[in-house]
Amino acid sequence: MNSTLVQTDSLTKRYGTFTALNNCTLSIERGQVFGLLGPNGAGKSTLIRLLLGFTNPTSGSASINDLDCHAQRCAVHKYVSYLPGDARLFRMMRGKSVLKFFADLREDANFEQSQTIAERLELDLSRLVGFMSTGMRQKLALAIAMATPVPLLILDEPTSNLDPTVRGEVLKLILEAKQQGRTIIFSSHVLSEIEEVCDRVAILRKGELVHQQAMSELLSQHRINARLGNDVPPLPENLRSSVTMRREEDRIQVEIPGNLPELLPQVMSWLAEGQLKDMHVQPIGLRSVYDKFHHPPLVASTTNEVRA
Amino acid sequence: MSGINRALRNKYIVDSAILFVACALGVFAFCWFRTWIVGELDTSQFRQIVDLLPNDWRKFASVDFDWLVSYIGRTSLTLDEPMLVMFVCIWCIVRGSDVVSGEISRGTMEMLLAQPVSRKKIYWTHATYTLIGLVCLTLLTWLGMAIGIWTTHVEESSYPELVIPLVDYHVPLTFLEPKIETVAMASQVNPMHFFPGLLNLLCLGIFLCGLSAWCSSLDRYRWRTLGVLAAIYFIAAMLKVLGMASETWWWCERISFFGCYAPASCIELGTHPGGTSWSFFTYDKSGAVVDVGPICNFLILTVLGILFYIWGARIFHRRDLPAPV
Repeated sequence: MNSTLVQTDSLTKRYGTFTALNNCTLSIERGQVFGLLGPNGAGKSTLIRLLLGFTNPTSGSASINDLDCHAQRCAVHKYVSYLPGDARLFRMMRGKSVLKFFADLREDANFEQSQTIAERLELDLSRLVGFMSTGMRQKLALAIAMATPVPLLILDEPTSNLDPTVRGEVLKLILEAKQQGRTIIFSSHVLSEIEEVCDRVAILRKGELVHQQAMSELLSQHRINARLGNDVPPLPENLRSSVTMRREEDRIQVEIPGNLPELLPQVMSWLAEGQLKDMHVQPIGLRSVYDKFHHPPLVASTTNEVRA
Repeated sequence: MSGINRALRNKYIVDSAILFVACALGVFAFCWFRTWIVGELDTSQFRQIVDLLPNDWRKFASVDFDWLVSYIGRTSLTLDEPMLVMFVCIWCIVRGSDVVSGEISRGTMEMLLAQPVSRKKIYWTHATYTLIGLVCLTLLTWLGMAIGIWTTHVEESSYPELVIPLVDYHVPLTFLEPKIETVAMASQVNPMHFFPGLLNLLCLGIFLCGLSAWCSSLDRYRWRTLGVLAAIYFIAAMLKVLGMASETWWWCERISFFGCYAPASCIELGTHPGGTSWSFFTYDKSGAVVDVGPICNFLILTVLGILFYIWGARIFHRRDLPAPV
């Protein structure tokens, strides 16, 4: 069995002159929780819709489990469960009837499991969908999507419209699905949620896939913010190839891309030469990476970035 | 696969249940009531009313005025009534337009298509249950008329007759008071004669269902689909009236789908001695073709309806599914 479950190759979608997704090439390994990040209009939903075969690619291709997402979309759906960003269900049905309908619609669906999930999400299934709030409809759709025993879950902003308690429950459900060996594509605006559950993250900007990174790699990256009493001493030769330094007046920011236990003592002794006043070490986090692409810092004259 | 069919079938039945019950009640009650009204008016009195109508008005009737004064003629006109046609068209347009743009408008198409169920299955299952509903409405139309006929009694006036013995010749004595007799309407009208007209109604329904599904497959807003279909419906009705009213504009009737809908005329053809409703063309006394016949009209409507359905299925299969707004 191929270890790659989802593969896109130069996937492009244009609507007239507007390019919703451009040349997107990525692969998602089995068992991974893959985060999709980007502001509104970045192309996350377009990518998801192309994977589900809802829209036809302008060029390029996408496959799930080696099945073409466009030509074999119905076969692809046997391996996929999907939660739309704005879940709308049949208004004339009651919650329980909706769960039953989707359980009847696919042979592998599990009605009891979907009821259990709905209970975990504290959803009243006796209510008509037409009288449900947005959050309740979201929970109902989550119960349908999460209960389907398929290898790939595609969740488009699954926690939007949910209160913090239920959000936590949803993240637990995602981690449980991961433990079961299922692959999850998780699109969200909430960086902390992505950090909490994802193994790998992709950042989209204006239809372009601008960055991909494993979360483990990101978590091993650290930043040191320090204030020095004297001028900054020259960066030692042995650190030039492994750290990045930015200076702003008496403040200095050092980014350590990994291997913190080995590099930290060396950085500390270097900073001590400049009469270290205070220092703060923290993981770089997704926010910094996200901001690098979506809110690039204004280049101030006082900022001096050095990369050896 | 059977599970998928069952789930979709249940959904479409639930979705359309209220509309179907409303249309079915409307159709059934209207046909019964309309037939009862026919029975309330003595044929001879109706002839007097018809005789008063200007000759110019005859062109608006799809049937011969002399046939129109008979009970079967007047009962057959039930199928031409705008009220009945409207009920059937409402079913066809509302259900037909629901299949793609309806689900997209409600935002439910995404969840439906995310399941391992093909677009073709969704489209054709919907079409199947829309057409079954249409057949049921057509049968209820017949049932309403038939029950009306079976339960209605009519008054027949006839003059006493002088019977000349040996030659058995009956001479009506018109100088005497007419004799009023109450007879069952069923003795005057056979409900089975209405089948060609009902088939015409069914074919019109198939056409409208196909057209509506095709419009729906192109669109993403249900309200717009309904608006377009209502516009087509009224333009077609106007074209028919225009074609009937003016000899110059006769071709307008030909380009309107209502031009193929003439149920009373179909029934009339079958009730004439030696005539038949099952002909491709109508002929004059010399045997020359005068017009297209009922079968041609049935085929035009049905084939166009099926072609629209197939075209709509192809569009739906290939189109992008827009995100819910």
